[in-house]
Formats: sequence, structure tokens, C-alpha cells
Amino acid sequence: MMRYCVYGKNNQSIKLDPRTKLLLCLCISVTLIAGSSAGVLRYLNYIPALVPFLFMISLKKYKNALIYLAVYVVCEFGTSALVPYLPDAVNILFTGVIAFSTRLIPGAMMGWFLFSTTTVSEFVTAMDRMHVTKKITVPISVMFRFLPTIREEYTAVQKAMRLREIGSFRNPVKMLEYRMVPFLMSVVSIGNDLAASALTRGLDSPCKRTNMCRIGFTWRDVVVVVLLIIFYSCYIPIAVFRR
Amino acid sequence: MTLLKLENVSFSYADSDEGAGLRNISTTIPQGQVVLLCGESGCGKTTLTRLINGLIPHFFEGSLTGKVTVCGKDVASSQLYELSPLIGSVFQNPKSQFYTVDTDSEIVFGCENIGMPKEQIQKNLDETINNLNLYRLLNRSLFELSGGEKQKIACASVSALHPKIFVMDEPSSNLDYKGIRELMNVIAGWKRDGCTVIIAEHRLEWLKTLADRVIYMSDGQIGSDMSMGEFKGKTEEELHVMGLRTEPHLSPVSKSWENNEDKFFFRNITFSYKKSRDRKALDIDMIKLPVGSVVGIVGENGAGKSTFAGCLCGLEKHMGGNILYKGNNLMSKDRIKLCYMVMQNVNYQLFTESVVDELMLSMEKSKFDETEKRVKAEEILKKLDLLGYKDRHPMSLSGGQKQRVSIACALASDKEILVYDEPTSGLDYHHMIDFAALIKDMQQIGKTQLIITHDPEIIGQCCDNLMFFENGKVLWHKATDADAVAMMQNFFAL
Amino acid sequence: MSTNNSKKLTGKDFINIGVFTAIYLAVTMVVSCTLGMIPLGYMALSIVVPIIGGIPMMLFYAKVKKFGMLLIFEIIFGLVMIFTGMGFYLLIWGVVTGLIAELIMKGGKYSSANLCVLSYAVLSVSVSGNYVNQLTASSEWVAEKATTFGEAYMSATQGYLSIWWVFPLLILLCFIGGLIGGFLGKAVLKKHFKRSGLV
Repeated sequence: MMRYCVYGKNNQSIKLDPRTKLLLCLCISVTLIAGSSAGVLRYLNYIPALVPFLFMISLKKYKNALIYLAVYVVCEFGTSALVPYLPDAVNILFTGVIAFSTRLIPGAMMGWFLFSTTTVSEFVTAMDRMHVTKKITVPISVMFRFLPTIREEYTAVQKAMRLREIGSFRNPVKMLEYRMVPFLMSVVSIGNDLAASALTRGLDSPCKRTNMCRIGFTWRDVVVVVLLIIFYSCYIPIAVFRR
Repeated sequence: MTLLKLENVSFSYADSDEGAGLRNISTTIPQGQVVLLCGESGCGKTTLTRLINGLIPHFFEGSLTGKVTVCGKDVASSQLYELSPLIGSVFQNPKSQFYTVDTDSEIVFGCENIGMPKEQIQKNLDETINNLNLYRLLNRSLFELSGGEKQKIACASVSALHPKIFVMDEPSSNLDYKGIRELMNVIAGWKRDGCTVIIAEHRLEWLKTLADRVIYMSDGQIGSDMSMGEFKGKTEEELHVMGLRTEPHLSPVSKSWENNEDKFFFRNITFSYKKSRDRKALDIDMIKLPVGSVVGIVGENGAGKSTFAGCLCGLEKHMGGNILYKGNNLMSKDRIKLCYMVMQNVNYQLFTESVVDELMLSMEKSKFDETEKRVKAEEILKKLDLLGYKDRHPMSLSGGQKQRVSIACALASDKEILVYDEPTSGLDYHHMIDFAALIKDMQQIGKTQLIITHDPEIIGQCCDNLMFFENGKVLWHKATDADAVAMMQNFFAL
Repeated sequence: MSTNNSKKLTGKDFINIGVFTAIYLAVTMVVSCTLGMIPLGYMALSIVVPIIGGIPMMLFYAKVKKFGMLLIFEIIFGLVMIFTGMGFYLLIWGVVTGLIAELIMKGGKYSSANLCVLSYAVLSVSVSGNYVNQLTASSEWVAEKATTFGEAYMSATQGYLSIWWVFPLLILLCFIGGLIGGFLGKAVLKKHFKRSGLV
């Protein structure tokens, strides 16, 4: 009999272990948000910002990669070029927030990369390997499974509202109520059915869960970690020295 | 060998909305038997399945007396995860019973949970794929599968655990005929392997060749317990008195529509979804339907029936082509004013806190004043037998009543064209007959109605015109004459 | 025999936590993708998200009623925020407010409706964790940049948060939004979910 590869689907060209991807996300997010951008560090910050761009290229998502690059460049250089010429009020209201978004966008894109190249089972397996408790992994896997369901159910409710020709924005509280009530009723009942079905298939079992999903570190992960170490051994001394 | 034993079991739910209670159930089921549980809705057949798979008392709360033993284990004192390798459960709604997002991990989900060794899981997986013929479904996202395919994966997921007993709660109610045929194969396979299968169902035709024994439930008790042979010996009248569905009768309708002046035209209708622009989800040259008729829309899942209904009701704005009704060309915003769809899941369509408010909401834009609206609302409710429920919360009503409330809303807003999306899929015989009567009433007051359905009985009851969809095209549409009946019988053959 | 109703979180509860985290996440995403694109709207998130989230969250409170529900909810929400680049402050704020909210609920033995609203309002304060990023970033950033780019750039990068009372105001707005959303959710719960038998 043929043997089937479980979880064969993988659209990544650079296959990394989910834990490596999580580490990368964490590093990018923390470095850009909590890090400094004084002096030469400003240029070092371009490196983590470039990482999601490279990953998008590796996924052959050229269009998204270019859009990301354009948005980043405009936010980073455009705002500082424009600030002196704009009135203070505009700067306070708009430019500051836009300039700040350069610290969020790379992390968000890396998050997108993480979620779009990792299957839920890989994610759960990775968390199991990191000894994350079931109290966290079960809700997380349910959450991922429900995001598409939420979209489906919400679309259906909107359709129903259009059929009834109701839900204008004139009365916002009513509008919210009409949207939320049928939506929540149906999502909650799906949740109940799901719980029944999962529990009859042993979800509550206290024994150690088997994971069929194959994840593991390869030389690629080693390369990423080495690069991270090199980056921080430049970044941290400079940040400390400048103070 | 007795696998399953119920001794004087009674149960009532703590929350009565969750189902009907049971009284003094005692029976035994041996290994290898395929048992059909039938009865009207509210007879307690679903509750009985929950007693067997342990959801009662471990999931649904209530008071339980008596003893249920499965493979020598007392269900009440065993945990659900201890029962899961013994009993596999498949439920009614395909979309709410998968836990993961892709087919492969769903199939092995149960095995992984109970900590089965990897090699064993791989072996079971390979066997399941082979036995259930799942090659085509591997490595797919569960969200893109049809209802029948999802149900097959649900069967595979419990099958991979190799349980001795399978319990199914109305597994066919969301399936088309193709899906049912696949389900029949799955159950036949389990039967061959010597497993016990217990199926609560209200669609009985497809189980006639599979089931060995029929337990008829009535009012929370076992009404009668017979072999399939005895059951087949019952006359149609006897079965109808029991509230059970029978073989559908399709007969030609003699009514002639030729003299009907008013026509409903569809010309060059095309529509594609954004995701797959190259493939036309709908491609119709010309359809002519009589105004005031009841049109049955038939075809496999994914043939374009629901898309057609969406276009007709003006929900899809980017439809190409023209729709003419009584000589007027209708744009999508005109159609949304004129048409109403009773969705398959009618829960989406109820928004307010009482039945009468629901109707008032539909009349919000009409020019009448408040008292006139109330009078009109009560009139409609009376016509639909809902006046007694006018202050109830719509969501607390039964499925059939909700459907009627939804239709009442369409009447309140003066819609002329009513579209129903699989209205009878979960209904027992009496409720189906009630629904058919309602359709006829609506026809009396001049509504044009279209019914998307997989249920040959409702077609036999009230459709005077038929449309057959395949791959986004209407293969044929005509009055329900001898020809059409023959083609339908062919399509619905198991 | 009566069926068990344990005080500890069970599989069913974990699934419910996942479901409601997904709903809350979807609400946050939809609101921030529409409103958050405008800088002024970004500030308004502090009150809008708690108001809209009120209805599902009150249902969540009514469905689970066990210690740990809010803590797990906040941890998962915070983790998702970290991995989508929104920074780690949300997790810290979430755990702290989640713990206080949890204790408030415990004080009311998970049954007092008004304490549910108060607990939700406290929980909502975690939304302001979003802005801590800017608060900590701006002072340092601006001090470095002020010399090269001048006063105008300084006020720009600091934006609203340079004004001392803006951040406490945001916290207050979150709390008020939580109260409004909580009472709205409580009303909807009574009007719909209880009468229809969902809870």
C-alpha cells in the first residue's frame, strides 16, 4: 500500500521550522518597537525591515513585495522630507503616526509571512515541542479554525440583511444589534457542535498528544539563527555604547 | 455478542431547548448490526444517540437514570476520551464538526488526541484512505469542500480510530444525492467490517438496503422495534401516520401554463465569482417561467442553483444579462425590492426580539402608520398560523416556525417572488406536508415561487415547473410533465 | 444522577475561549483596518473597539464563567499581536488587566451581571496597550531627532502622545468604552440570548 505524506502542502520556497519563524517575528517586532534608531542604528533598522521583503520575494509574491517596499520607503523617507514644509497641526495629526508606522509594518508583514506559510498543525506541533500547555494550544487552534468561519457567517448575515432591506447606518446601535445577534447565535452554535465533535474524538484526553506533523530544524534554520546572532552582536553594542 | 446495552434509561435535559427527553429505554444491540432510529422530530432519536456516544451525561447536562453499557464499559462513569476509541460519532451539520482546517490533519485528529503511536496512525490513515476512497480529498482545505465531501472526511476521521460502533445523527440532512450515495458506500464498508452502526435519520429511502433493524421512537419512548423486513412491509399510510417519510411520488401536473400571459424571462444570464474569473458560475441563454408558478430548481451541489438564486434576488451586482418580470426589465436594486429568499439557515434572517417586531421591521419603509402596520402584521401572522407566537423571541421557535416567520416578513414587505433554499432538508413528514400546504397558499395569493431542493417529496407535492442545473447551465426547464417526471426519477435514483 | 459541572476549565470551555478570541480578534481587525488608517481614528480605536466588542464579550462571560477564561483570552490575543508586529506591550497590559478582571469576576462568583460589565471595562483598558509603543518610542526618538530635524519634526513624531494628558485620557476612554460596550452587551444578552435560550 502507498504511504501518504501527511501535511505535504507547503508553499514555502525557503522551508523553515515554525519556531525559527516565530523567533524571527519576535526579533523584528521587538527590535523595531523597543529598539533605538539613533545614529547608525537607523541604518541597521533597515535590515529587519528588509527581511519580510526577502521572504515575500522567495514566495514569488513580487507584487506584494514591491507594495510593501514602496509603503515602507514613503513612510520612512517621505515623512521626514515633508515635515519641515507642513503646518504643525497636520504634523501632529497625520505625519507623526505615519512615520511611526515604519516600526509596525515590517513586523506585520513578517506576521503575515508566518501565518501564510505555516499550517495550523505545524503551529500546534511547534507549540507542543516548546511545551506550551494545552490550555493555550487548544484555544489557539480553535481560533485559527474559526477565523474563516467568522467570515462565512458574517457574509451570510449581511446577505440576509440585504434581503430584508434593513441595517442602514441611521441607527448605529440597531445596526450593531442586527449584525451581531444572528451572527453570534450561529457562531456560538457552531462552536457547541464543534466541541461535541472534538470531545467525542478525545480532545480532553490527558495523555500526551501524538503529532503526525513533521517539523524540525535544518541547516536553513541554523543559517537564520547565525545571522540573527551576527546582527545582534553589532546592534546591541552600538545601542549600549551610544548611551 | 452484545455490544451495547441500555437498561431502563430515562433522561431529561437541564435546558429543554437542547432536545427531547427519553423515558424507560431498554434495548440491546449486537455486534455487526446496522440500526435505523426513526421518528418525528422531537421524538428523542438524537437524544438516544447522545446517550450512546457519551455526550450525555458528559456534555449535555440533565438528570439521567438507568445504565448504558458500551463494550462492557459504563458510559456514565467513563470519560469521553476513554469512549472515543470505541465509539465514532458523525453529526448532522458538516460544517460545524471539523476541528482542524485541512483534510489530512482532520482524519488523524482523533488518533493524535488519544496518543496513538505514529506508525499505528500512519497505518490506520492509509487504510482509511483506501477503504473510503479519499485520494481525491487529500491535502485540501476543509473550507473549500462541499457538504458531502466534508461529511465523508468526518466519517474518515472517526473511522481512523477503528471503533466498534458508529453513531450517526441525521448525517444526510445537508447532502445532495451524490453525497448520499457516497455515504451509503461508507456505511456499507463499515458493515462489511463487522462494525455496529446506529443512524438516527428522517430520510429513510437510502437506508432501506443497508439497515438490518428499525427502532421507531415516539414521544421519548421506543414505539416499536422491528426488522427491516417488517418495516418494509408497512403500507405508506401506516408510515405517514407514524410521521415518517416514504418513497416520493412524482406525477405529472396537468395544469397548463400556455395561456398564462405574464411571463418571467431570463436572458443571457452570466456570472463569475471574483476568485475564478475564467470559470462562469452561471451561464444561461434563455429561460421563460410562468408568473405565479412554483418552480423546483434541481441539480447537484455546486451546479449553480444558489448562485442563480443570489442573482435573481439582486444580491450579486455583477450579473450579466436581463431579467424581465411582467414586461419590466429589473435591475439588481429592483429585484432586491421584489424578491425574497428564505435561506437554508433561516437563523441568519431573524433580527428582532419578537415575531411581531420582525414583521414591523419589514414594514419600516411602507407608508402606513403604526396601527395600520400592526393590523396588517396580525393579519399575516394569522394567515401563517403564527398569531399565538407573536410575542415570542423568533430564535426560540422551532425550525418550521422560524421558516414561516421568515416568509411572513416577505409578505409584510410585499415581495412578489419568493425563493426557498432547501427548505425541507431537515423536516419530517408532517412538517414537510405543512410546508407544501404553505407553498400552495402562497400560490393562491399570486406569488411566484422558486424552490431549490434535493428533496423529491416536496417536488412531488407542489412544483408545477422544473429547472435542472448542471455546471452553471440550465440543461432543461419545463412544466412538470411526464417527461420531466421521468428525468427527475432518474436523477433521484439511489 | 446529575451530570457534572466542574469548576475547572474543560475542553468545551477551551473551545469557547478560542471561538470568542477569534470573534474579538476579528472585531479588532475590522475596526482597526477601517478606522485605524486615519490617524485620528487610530486614537478613537480606544473607545470604539471596547464598545463593539461588548456584545460578544458579554456573551463570552455568560457562557464560560470559570477562572482563567480572561487570562487565557488575553494571553492568546497578546501573542497574536506580538506575532503580527504590534509589539509586546499588549500582552503585558492584557495579562495585568486580565488578572484584575478575573479577580473582579471571582468576587462576584461569576454571576453578577454588573460586575461582568465592570470586569469587561477593566479588561478593555488593555486596548490602550497599543499606544504604549508610541509613548515609549517617541520620547527617546524625538530627543535624538530634535537636533537634526528641528521642533516641527519633534512635535510630529510625538504626535498626540507628547501631550501629557493624552495617554491617561486614552486609558479612560478605553474604560468608558468598556462600560458602554458592557452595558450594551448586557442589554442584548437579556433581550436576545437569554430569551432565545442560547445561554
